[in-house]
Amino acid sequence: MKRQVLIAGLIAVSLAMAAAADIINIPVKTFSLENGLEVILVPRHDTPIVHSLIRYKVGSANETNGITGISHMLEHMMFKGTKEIQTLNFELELPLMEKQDELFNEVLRLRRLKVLGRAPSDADARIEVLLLKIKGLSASQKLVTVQNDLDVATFQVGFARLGADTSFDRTHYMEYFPSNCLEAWAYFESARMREPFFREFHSERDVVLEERRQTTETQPEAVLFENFLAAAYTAHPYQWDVIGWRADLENLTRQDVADYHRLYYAPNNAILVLVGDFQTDQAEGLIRKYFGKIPRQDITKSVTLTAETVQLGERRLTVSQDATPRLIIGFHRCPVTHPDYPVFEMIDTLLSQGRTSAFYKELIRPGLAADVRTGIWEMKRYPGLFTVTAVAGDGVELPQLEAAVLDQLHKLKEQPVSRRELEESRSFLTGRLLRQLRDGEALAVLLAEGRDFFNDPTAFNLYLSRLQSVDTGDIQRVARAWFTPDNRTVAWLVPPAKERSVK
Amino acid sequence: MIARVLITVAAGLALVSSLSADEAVSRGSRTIARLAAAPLHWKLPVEGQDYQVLRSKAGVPFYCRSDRSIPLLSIRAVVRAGAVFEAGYPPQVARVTARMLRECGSEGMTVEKLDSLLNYYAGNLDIECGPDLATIQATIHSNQADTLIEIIARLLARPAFTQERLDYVIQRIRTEEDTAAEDPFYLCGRKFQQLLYANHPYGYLRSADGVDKVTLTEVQRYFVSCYGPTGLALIVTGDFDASRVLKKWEEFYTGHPPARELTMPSVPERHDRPGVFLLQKNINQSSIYFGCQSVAEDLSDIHRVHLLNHMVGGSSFASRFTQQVRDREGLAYRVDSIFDTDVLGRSAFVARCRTKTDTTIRALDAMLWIIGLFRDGKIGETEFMAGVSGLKNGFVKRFATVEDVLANFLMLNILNRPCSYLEDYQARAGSITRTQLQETARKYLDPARMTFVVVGDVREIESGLKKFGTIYRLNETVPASRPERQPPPER
Repeated sequence: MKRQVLIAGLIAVSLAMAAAADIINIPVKTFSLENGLEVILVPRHDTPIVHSLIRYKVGSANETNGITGISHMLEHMMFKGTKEIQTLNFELELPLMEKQDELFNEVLRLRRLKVLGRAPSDADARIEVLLLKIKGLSASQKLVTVQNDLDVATFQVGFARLGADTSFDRTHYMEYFPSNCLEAWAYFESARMREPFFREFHSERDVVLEERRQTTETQPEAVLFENFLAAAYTAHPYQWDVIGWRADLENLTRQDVADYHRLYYAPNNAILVLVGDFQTDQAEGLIRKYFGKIPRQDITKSVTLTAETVQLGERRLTVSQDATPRLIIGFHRCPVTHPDYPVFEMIDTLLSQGRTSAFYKELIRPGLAADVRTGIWEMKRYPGLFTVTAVAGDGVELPQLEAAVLDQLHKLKEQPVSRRELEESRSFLTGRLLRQLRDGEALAVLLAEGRDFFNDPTAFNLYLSRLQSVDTGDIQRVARAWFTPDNRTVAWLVPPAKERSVK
Repeated sequence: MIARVLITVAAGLALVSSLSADEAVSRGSRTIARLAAAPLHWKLPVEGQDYQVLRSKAGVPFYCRSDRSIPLLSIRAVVRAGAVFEAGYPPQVARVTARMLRECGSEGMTVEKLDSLLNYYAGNLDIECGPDLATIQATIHSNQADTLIEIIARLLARPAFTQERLDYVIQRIRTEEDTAAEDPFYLCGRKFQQLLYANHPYGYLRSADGVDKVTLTEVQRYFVSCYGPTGLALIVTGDFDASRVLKKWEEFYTGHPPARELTMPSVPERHDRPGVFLLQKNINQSSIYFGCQSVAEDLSDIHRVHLLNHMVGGSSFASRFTQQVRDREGLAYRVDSIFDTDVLGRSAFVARCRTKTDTTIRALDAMLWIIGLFRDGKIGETEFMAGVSGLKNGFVKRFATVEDVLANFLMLNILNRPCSYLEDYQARAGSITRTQLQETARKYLDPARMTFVVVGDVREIESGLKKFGTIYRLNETVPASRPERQPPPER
């Protein structure tokens, strides 16, 4: 069924633009397969390129202690081929992989015995030898694998780099490719949804650990954020960053990842979007042909029921890192489906967008802060966080910086923002949305997110409508309700030499 | 001892497998090739049919293509005003001037007013300065097209530079560079650029070196020299009327002399700086940069350089670096190479990765081994053909958006290349031979000339790094070809 999406009232969101109410027509075709896979198609023929997105409704919010980071690890493993891709003979690989699993299970057993204090005295040496044996088996297996086969095969026919991205609530697989590659895309994407083959598991774990070193352990602000999250949440899985804890990554098994895939990468837990140069009938036919027979799963098992406990007072922590002093102040906030969510986005804009924003005028220009950023993060399905990250200016102490940030938040509660400021914020967010609608990949993400959270690919209309209804009283109401000391977590980063005096 | 033997055996097996499996083709790979075999019905866009180029009275070209599906106007102004044009000026003046443009507003429109207008009309405006070009990127709701044209034309005609804003910009650049250098990989890249390019502007791109010496007079002088119509070109896309855009532009872009022949920067002599430069940081991962200056000297050479870089480390997951260092050996999350031929100065081959401290030498060994394979002509026919096909079939990706389409033609003008460069690209890529690939590798990838920089816990691995060249500790002795440009001490 083809339907016209009308972004009505788009211009009316701003007084300045109200005079020229435009209507944007985006032809969207949606349908579902019998196995529950939801499909959204948007043909665009201005360039010979197709953007694809498959959104699996799984992220670190679906994890539990012990397997943190598994969503992201699975994302890595999805590039390891299938029974046809990346192998010369998968049957020869199977026993080698099973043997590696067996050896690694023994590693885990020894590690657990060590925790219990019942390990043999040579446990560490045994573990080292076991891990080396796994490396040897893995190297032998490579004799029948074709390294990076999927990447090479797709690159060869014209694909851009195959992309993927794991977040708190979802995992995305994105590609863009010349339009003559549509069937090749359907072939490999459906194959790895149906039956990926998790070869090279242990070396890929090393890659993920390197990623953790690169993006977290050697980055002072990321270390601060990881510690901040762990303090801000006590029960909900948003308490760990998407990369997961090092120890959990080191102990994941291939079977853990396979089980996780079976449950969460079911077609009825996925949304598929194509934007670009294709004929809708042809695309629909290919999607039905390649994705139609993948079995559905009971995805009710996959929903996280753990709710965050009510915060009963401010939480504070200090992290010692060799870097410029900085802080993160965070408050719990509503999820994306709540009508107040756009109010947080407007507050975000009012505080930190451009040279007219409060933080720019009051913190950056006077030199109190070298940098100030607000963040809503991709914690959308469950109650997430609104954060302010501020880097101290030259000679500025963290107590002074913290007071200055809190003072701006306090002003939001006490002083109504001007009508002009409100309209600027609203228009800025509208403009940002328009730019997303124009970009193929960004549009695909918007459509998938709308379908996921609002059961409506074009939920940006609802967003715009909610945005339009925000008034100055809403800003004050939300600030007063959420920016309270009891709902606050404060994390300081201090250089090692200063740590003692600050404490 | 046993462990070492086992490691050696495992590494040996990995090496053997990397040699033996490279020419194998999986069933899945054949299927992907078969399913994508239908020809792509696409032709290179043609001026006058698919886009138009208009010229202002002062000679500024406007590359235009309209698309009324979304009510947005986009403008990208490209200015030959990057660091490479700084000869005769203090270092960093290009970067400071670009930042000043964004921070100062124009005569008759303060920056606060400008930002307020942009926010009010759903717009945005970013100005960046790169090694060669400054770029102004802006969008606005299409019913305010005139406003955006006015903002950009005013900025480019009469910016309101002030000393107070200059002081602020300089302080911001210093602060931003200090913060950026907290990332050891960024710091490594900075040191590498400094060593590779010495006093050339490319050498201080990632630092605040010299920024304090930029004066308001120099900024004004640089602006007049570089931001006139001679070095300026615009890309206009979205929902707009081209003649109206041009008319509005003429109204506000006044005062500059008409376009004249542009003096292009001279390309300096090649500068080699072999050695292994180490910087100690107490972290558990090494950041690695290595490479050497180079240049793509003629157009036929460029296609071979592109292929070489794609196959070595440029095409990311399909490249040899990623296959070996990341996926076969699990040593790094990201490993890649850069060989940018679209530059006005002297280009360089750069290889990069991050790996844990105790695998630093192994990662370097693997990357140099791969370079050796290309130099020795040991790349198999299947891998070679896959690389050539990727370069040919991926060419269309350069035209992924309407703005990309126009940018391709604008860049021909900037780089002084003929239209045939784009027209013949796929044919030329397809005609490269394995022998030419080897010759190109030998010509440009010479480990003996290369500069290696490692930032991390280098005390642990210094002795093992000696095999890559003479060791220099960046904190202590920095052997500079021009001593006045020694990197500043670490904070």
